[in-house]
Amino acid sequence: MAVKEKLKAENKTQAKTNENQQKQLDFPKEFISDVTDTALFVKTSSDDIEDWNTKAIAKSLVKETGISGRVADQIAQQVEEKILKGSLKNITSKLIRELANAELIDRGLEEARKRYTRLGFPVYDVKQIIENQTNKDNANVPHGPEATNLTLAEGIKKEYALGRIFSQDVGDAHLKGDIHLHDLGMIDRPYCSGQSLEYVKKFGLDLTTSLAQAKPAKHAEVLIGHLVKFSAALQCHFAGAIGWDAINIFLAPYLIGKKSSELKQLAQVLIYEFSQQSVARGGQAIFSDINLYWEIPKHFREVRAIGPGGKYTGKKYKHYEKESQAFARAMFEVYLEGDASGRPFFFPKPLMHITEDFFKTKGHEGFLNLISKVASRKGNTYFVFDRRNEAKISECCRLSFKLEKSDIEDAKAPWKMRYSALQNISLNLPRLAFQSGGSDEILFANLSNKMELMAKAHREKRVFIESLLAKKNNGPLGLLAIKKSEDEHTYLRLHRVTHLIGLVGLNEMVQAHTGEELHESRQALKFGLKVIAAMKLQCEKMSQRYGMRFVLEQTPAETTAYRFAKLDLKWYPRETKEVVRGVIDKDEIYYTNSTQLNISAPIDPIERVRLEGLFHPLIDAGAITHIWLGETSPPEKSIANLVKKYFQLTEVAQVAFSPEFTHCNECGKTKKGAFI
Amino acid sequence: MFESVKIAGVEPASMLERPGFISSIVFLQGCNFRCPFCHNPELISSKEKITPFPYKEFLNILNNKKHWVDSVIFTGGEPSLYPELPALIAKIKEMGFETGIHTNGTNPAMLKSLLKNNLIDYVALDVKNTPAKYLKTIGRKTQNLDPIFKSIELTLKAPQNVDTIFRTTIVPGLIEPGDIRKIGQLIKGAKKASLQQFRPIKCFNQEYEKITPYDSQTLNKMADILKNYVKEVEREFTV
Repeated sequence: MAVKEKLKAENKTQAKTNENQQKQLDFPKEFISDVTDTALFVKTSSDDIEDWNTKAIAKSLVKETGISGRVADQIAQQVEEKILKGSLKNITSKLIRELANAELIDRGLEEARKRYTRLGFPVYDVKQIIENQTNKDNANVPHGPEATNLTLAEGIKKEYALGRIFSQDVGDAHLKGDIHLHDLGMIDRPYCSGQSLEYVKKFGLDLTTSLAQAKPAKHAEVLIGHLVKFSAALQCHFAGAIGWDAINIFLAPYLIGKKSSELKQLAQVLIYEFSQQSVARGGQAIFSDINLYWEIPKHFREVRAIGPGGKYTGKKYKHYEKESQAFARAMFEVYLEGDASGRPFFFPKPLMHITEDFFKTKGHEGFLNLISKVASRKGNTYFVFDRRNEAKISECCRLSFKLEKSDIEDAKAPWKMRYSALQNISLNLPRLAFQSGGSDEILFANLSNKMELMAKAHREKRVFIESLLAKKNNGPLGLLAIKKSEDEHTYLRLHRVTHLIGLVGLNEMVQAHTGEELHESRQALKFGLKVIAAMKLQCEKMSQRYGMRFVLEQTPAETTAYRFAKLDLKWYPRETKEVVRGVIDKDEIYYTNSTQLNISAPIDPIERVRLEGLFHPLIDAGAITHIWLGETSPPEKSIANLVKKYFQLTEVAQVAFSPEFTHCNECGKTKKGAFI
Repeated sequence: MFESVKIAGVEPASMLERPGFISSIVFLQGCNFRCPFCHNPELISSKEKITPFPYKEFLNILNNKKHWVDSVIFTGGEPSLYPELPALIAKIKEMGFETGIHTNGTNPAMLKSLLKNNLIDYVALDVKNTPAKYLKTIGRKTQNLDPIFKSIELTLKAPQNVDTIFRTTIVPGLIEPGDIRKIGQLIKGAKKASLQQFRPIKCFNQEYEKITPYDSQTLNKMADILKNYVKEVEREFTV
């Protein structure tokens, strides 16, 4: 008690002294003019110049950090003294903040300093970013003023995310490279979004942030315009891919009576509009995926079709098979031609669903040859295998969602079908092996701990996104909080979102742990499968425990494979050197992506798909095998033959064929093969 | 039993060899030609000290890919130099695969018996050049061309169910656009022919690595000429 009172008394005296000092300094203008002949001005962050005011410093310290007014006053005075000792004519609010932060550190007020600090870049870095730097986090962002805006904005949001959204242990695990929190610079957005054109057909284009609202489209051209605009709006609200389900089927009611030349024109409009969006905000193309079907799949056959003006046509989608197929064909004809210089289109990616019914539907042979030709010549085609009666919606190059029972119910009104993954977090698998010294027990315990940490990170992101959505139209995610009167849910259906657990470098993990790569022995492969099965099981357990859907996915960002490898080389140089792929001296290193086999191992296209396919059923959010074609263009019939066998004889979820291209920026020609 | 057949290597799953088919390609060691542009020079000499691909391993690959691989194709070197080949092919056929041979045509007797006994479903026959330029093209001072003409005839008259193709590699300096007509006359009426782009990489005669291949325009023109003699021309060139 006595101590407390003593402290109180001291505080009082201190406050008085402060007050006196403050009074003296309250007329700094005169005082300073003695020294500098002019008033001391402060350049503030709001593009303004203000007179010097100690109170302003103390006030902001209290407001932003919650420290006591007394300490704030003391700090403000110390800052002022330092400034007066210098001979600056102009000082910036940034400098004041830095000085105040130094004072906070002196007082051991670390949490307050974190709150009070500024986020941003050193001048040198800004120069580099504006003048030289291409975006290293995303291979699809070119260098340009819009792109550097994105980089700078992302830089600040990234720091904010690590400092304020995620807890210290999560942030540290990311910085050390145990895990990778994807798209930190887009912390205020969910990760990706998959939906159906039916929403746009039914409700028109209603973007909360836009001044003009459009009624449901009456013509195919307009509908395609809405589709691309809405995708662009979604791109501004999501970090990753924007996927569209069964687009040829849902467009079909608008295509009645169109000639094949008109269909081709519409397909061109759709593909070019999507692929040329990189001239828009962020300088970034819309990472877009288009799901296509040859047949009308079972879950859409009996659905009432919506046509021009958003009105029901009186028919069902099964009645539009002809138009739907003709448009799918037109799309692939455009992909086969490529752009004006013959280059393949990168976006939108066509995801062709291969199902049991595909092979029973008339005309599938010719169509399979066409899409195989596109695969061989341009590499666009993604073959998505929906075996048995499974249905999937795919977005991003790998991500896909298996439709569940409730989704099949939603399929009766396809505009309700909206899916999202809220966040994507990847795990550095090789490091787990480096830390386990060959012991299975330690490895699996470590794996389990890391996954718990990933779940924690997911929860932290979710709480943040939920808080933004709760602000509805007054918040930044107003578009995703839209709720139509006929709809039970907001646009983003939180009850249906997933949380992605990605993985990088299973091959190198197994090699470091067992001494052999996945393709080198049966035991190595078995061990790899055991690791992924354990991860899947833990996802299921955590989903139950936390009431969130955790699903495994193949990490889509190749840059993550590079980042992990680089950080491991720093922290575990000896172990990393033994397993890392690429050339260490050239700084061109990487881990093999997700569960894939060593890309450079001489494995034929049958074996690769067969072995990699073993992992796919364990990876619920989608998996893919890439077949590298190099400079060869196999005949389409051979590819079609192989695709059919992939469907029948393996469990592989998706396959894409990748030919190599070199595009010469000087002469504008595109050639098959890799030329340097 | 077939250990004497020197298998230099196996490409288990090729999409390129036979359009529409997934083929296993079996490379046999040794060749009786010395084509200067050959890009498998290590397969030419039968005395070359190679570690042959174990026969058992080869059978394992095939068994392992049973429902995948449609056809097994023997190439080389020159596969018809091995008298055991028909028996080996018969065995592969028994396993349920289609079979084929890629040959230079110097062993028409073997080709005839393979066709007669329904042992092969696919013949790819090399037509190296016009008769006048043949010796230079195959790098031989002497070579009786009659067996080759005989093989061309056998291939042209092969049963309808046998897939046949005539192949010519277009090497500048050896083949001029004007030669295509004469080559066309040799294989007149063929179901299919292909002009293959020459690749100046890893040639038997290293001087040939300096040769610049024809551009695709020239090759296309040659293919157009050849089309007057055969039903289909495969244009396998990516330039």
